[in-house]
Amino acid sequence: MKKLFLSASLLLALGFSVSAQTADEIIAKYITAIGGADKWRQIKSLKVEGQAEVQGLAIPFTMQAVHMKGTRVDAEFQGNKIIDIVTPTAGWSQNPFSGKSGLTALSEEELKAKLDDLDIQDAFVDYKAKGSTVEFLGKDEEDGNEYFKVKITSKNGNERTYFFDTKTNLAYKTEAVVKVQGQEVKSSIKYLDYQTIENGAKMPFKTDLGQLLQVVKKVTLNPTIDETIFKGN
Amino acid sequence: MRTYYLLLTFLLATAAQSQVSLNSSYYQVMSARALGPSTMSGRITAIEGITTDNQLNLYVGTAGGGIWKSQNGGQTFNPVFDKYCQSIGAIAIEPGNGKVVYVGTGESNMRNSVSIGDGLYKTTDGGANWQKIGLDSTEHISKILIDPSDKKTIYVSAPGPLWSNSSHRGLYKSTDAGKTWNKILYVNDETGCADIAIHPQKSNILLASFWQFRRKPYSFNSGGPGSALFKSIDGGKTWNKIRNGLPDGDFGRIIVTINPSKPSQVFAIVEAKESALYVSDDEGDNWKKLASNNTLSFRPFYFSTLVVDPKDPKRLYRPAFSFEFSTDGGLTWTGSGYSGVAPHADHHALWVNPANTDVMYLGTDGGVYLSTNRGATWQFLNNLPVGQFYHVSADNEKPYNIYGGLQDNNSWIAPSSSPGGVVSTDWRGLGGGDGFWVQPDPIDAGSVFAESQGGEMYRIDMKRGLSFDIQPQLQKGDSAYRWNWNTPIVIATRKAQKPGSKSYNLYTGSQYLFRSIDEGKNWERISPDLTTNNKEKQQAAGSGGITGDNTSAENHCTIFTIAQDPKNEQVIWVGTDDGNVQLTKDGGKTWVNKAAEIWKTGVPQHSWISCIEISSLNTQRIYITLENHMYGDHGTYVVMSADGGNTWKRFTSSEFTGFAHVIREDIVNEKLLFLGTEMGLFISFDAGATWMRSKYQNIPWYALVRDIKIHPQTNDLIIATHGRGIYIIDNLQPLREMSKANLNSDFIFFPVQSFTIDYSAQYPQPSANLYGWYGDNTVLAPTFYYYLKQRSNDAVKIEIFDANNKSVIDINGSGLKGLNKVYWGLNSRPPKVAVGGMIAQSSMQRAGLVGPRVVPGKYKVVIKADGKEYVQSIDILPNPQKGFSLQEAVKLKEQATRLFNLEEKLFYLVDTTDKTIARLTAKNGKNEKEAKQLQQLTDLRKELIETNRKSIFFDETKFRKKISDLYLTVATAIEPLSNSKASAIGILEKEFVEWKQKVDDVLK
Repeated sequence: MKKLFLSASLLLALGFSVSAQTADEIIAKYITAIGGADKWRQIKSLKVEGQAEVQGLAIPFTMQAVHMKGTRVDAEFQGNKIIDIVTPTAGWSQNPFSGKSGLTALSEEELKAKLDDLDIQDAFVDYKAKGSTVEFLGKDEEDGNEYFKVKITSKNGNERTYFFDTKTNLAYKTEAVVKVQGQEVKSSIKYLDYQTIENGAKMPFKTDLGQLLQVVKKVTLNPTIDETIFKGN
Repeated sequence: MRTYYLLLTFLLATAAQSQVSLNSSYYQVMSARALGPSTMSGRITAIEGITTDNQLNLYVGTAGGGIWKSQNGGQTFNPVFDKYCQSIGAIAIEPGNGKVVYVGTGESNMRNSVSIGDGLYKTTDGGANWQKIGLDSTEHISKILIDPSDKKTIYVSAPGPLWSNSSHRGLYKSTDAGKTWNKILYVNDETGCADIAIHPQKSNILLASFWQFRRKPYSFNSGGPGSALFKSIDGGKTWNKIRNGLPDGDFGRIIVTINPSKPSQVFAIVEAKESALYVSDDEGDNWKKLASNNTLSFRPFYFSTLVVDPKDPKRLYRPAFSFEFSTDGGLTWTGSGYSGVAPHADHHALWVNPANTDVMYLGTDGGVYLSTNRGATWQFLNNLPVGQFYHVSADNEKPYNIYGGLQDNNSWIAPSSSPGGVVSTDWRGLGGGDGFWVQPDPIDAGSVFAESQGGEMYRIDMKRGLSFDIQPQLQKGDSAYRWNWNTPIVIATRKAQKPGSKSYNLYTGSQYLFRSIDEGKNWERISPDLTTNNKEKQQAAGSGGITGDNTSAENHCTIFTIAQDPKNEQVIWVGTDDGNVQLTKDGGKTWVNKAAEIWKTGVPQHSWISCIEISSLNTQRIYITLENHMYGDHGTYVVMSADGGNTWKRFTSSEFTGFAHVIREDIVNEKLLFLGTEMGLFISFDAGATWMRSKYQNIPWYALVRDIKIHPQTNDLIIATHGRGIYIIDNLQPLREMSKANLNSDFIFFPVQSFTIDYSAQYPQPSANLYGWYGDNTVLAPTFYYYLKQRSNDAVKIEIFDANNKSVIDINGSGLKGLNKVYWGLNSRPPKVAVGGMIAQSSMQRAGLVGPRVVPGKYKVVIKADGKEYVQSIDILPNPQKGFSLQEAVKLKEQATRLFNLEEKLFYLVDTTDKTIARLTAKNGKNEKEAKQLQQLTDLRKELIETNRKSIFFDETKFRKKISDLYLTVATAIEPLSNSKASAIGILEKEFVEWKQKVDDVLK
């Protein structure tokens, strides 16, 4: 009895707060639900093909990524090429529809917001080792269902709040505050249609960004990717 | 046997799982339009600000509209507290960290209509997410202070429940950033903590004022032996009552403020027999009188703000009935000059930017005002739609108008739709004071009946723009009339007496019921005193306590609600504020009090009868809401009689929160009910057996819903909130269908309603500079509603076919769980537009997105979901009255189709050209003919499409753009090109033939 009491106070002294424990419990269940950490650690490179659906139009895209080294998205719409490249030190984008007719370097702030995308293993897999911190934000209701909210702050300083379904333990939605012309705007992404990929990991095949629905058609695990594609100029 | 039993449970479990547990997320597409107004805003209760990353962030708390955040010093605001209690008492931002904010719910400007809070909340991410952190039963919170030397130490002052005794009052402290709370100072269950102040440098020094205050429905009392000023020098562990130099006798409310730039000095406005401003120069131990005048001491229960400039120790602000300031340390006071915009009277919050003390934000009964010159002049922030309506009504114009009265902000009219959306300038005033009932003449809206507090009622002649007093005057033999603060004005149908005469009854009530059949010129008293006439409950004249206050707000034993049977004008129901439910069946000759029958359901006796609703489908069905919050009981009380009022049953639900204001039965489907309470809108699909809180209709979850109307022509649900203005949920038809349907079906395609071609008016529009808040218009388009039991991750496709069974267009449907709503813009499939060159933001890009409009007729609608097809037809009807005839539509379609065909012909021509160019380019060892062909085709391509365009500001016109420009003009037009203009199509058709010939010649 006395021993038990001691260990409890030790935990308190070490600064394990109640909320961190709760957050870790929720995260552990989530990682189990997406196939377990090992499956995600196996993913070193990734190729995803699919289409973005917007206002009845389908825009095919290909995403290629090497874990923590680079990501590149290529899409084509009405004969115009849209490209996004992110590496740990620089990023570029090309989008004629927003006035960037050639590859243009990202600003420091734009790059910072995209650095977390380099992590193609799930953000919560080994989150401590990746330098991220988490905070439990309580229960909430969306779409008539109950969710646990966990905020993750990456070592790059980006914050994102995950809504974990209390029944399936899967992430249903994330919210992040992004700056648009200096103003903070809440942007949310919903994750739908979880499917099991070839190594047994589970990922959402549909991502609802509000105006745009991203639909995954094909996932290739650990393809060989020529890293020169991550060069913007 | 055992196996069988197991199997049965398994089956039951499976069945139970597949049962839909209905909630308002199942019809989230029935989203309300928020119409404001922001022209007249609502009561502001707290303003706090902080500058981070060069942005001035403001958090504005309101009396009934939640919290609004601005990141740009008030140029724009967003609501950040819509899932929680909407009455805000206090806000505190963690020093140096704008992301951490504490909010105390329950305003403490203790007027008669003040709402009630449910505790303390905290955000750590600037308002994106909130958690409740305790003090659930305090009901009213006046201030939150964070220790400047330790951000984890927080003090909260709670005046506590206004209408009952409570041990939850007092001063609370947390030392762990809000996780746990201790009550560190408590006087008694009638006396709460009104104010606190903390020494900015020696944060163990605290001053706290306690206030004995109580409201009853018919009077209120401020002051008593419990009221006192306390001081602690050990962070609240021990307290001393302070009296040295303060006036003798009992105190009422005390405001205490420490001079931030000279913290040994403390100011206090003390409500006492001789109310005055006091000052202490020794950290609050000894006091002396500094100044006394009415503007400092008016209405202490309502005005509790005293602010000292953060940098100038001599400069004091007293925002109260008017804005007063002192430049000599509080000795003398003057009013703000108000050249230019005069702030609305009645001030409750002032935030002075410590980084630039010229800039300050003032919270009033009518919104937020900004001064950039220390209060010399003000500008109104026309972007906070937090108006506090009491009632709403509508006329039968097209589009219909909305009428209603706002707490301390007059009576108003606004269109339900307006060119470009309903904007601030669409709202027009209909008289002053506190506004309540506003009723348009149902015949032609030529007269509007409105009032201010205490039954001061008038008729506005809308044609002449003149106002005429119509309040009944004392008739012989009557007792003095007692008018409720919120006196009912009700219009009901009446058989026309003679052709052309206005056939409606106008009712109002004091303790007597009055009826007028001539627009309020003459009134007939048609009842005796219908109240309890209990003299114990008629004490408004002696109300106020230490400071007398009698403004009609405490008038009691009055008529509060009136309802006439829509089919039989002899039957009238009247509800009073002291619990009587009176019924006449002979036009007022005899009356029966039905209250005792209603009490049998277990509702509290003598509570306010807030609403009586007679079913329009079966007038034997009566609904009544009762509310008892003025006796400290927040229960939601709703009863229904199916037999004309003889027997009653009570509706209950675990979803209910807040005392009830209004109930309405749908005018088509008797099962569909709407209930508005102080904390939410509730919807029943099953005649009141079960209820759902509205969470997904774009209305705050705990909105203060005061009134609800269903428009008889449009079937719109019109909702009046006391803190977020007016909301409209367009066309309730899908909810009627849902409430009849078996929602355990996987898919339901609800009946399609025909569509008469119409377009929203676009002009005239007000200047965009004056918009302030604006609300969306109703959408005019054929609409398809379907139901999915589960969210569908596979696309739901809708395909439209014309009368010849030719496919017209594919539309992507949504896959939401529950009701889905898809519009068809009446367009057919867009053309293929020739590819190549930069087309961003050009007619070539838009042409590829817009198909020609279809003609009126019958169309087949096929929904494909989960591998099945569901088919209905829709009639698209011409609208010759508005100039949209069948003949014109056919002509328009014919013109658009010719241009459509041209776009597609060009597409194929360019495609052939491109493919040939690609083939020839790739070929090694071209012969002379091929090389020439390649050159010719490349040159031709440059004439067919725009290849030199490199920027959206560089327009190059080649053949593709010529076609696209005209195509777009015709495809988006609502009438055909005239014959003289239509010849342009022929010119393009001829030109195409020539280009085609040139390409063919090369390819030969």
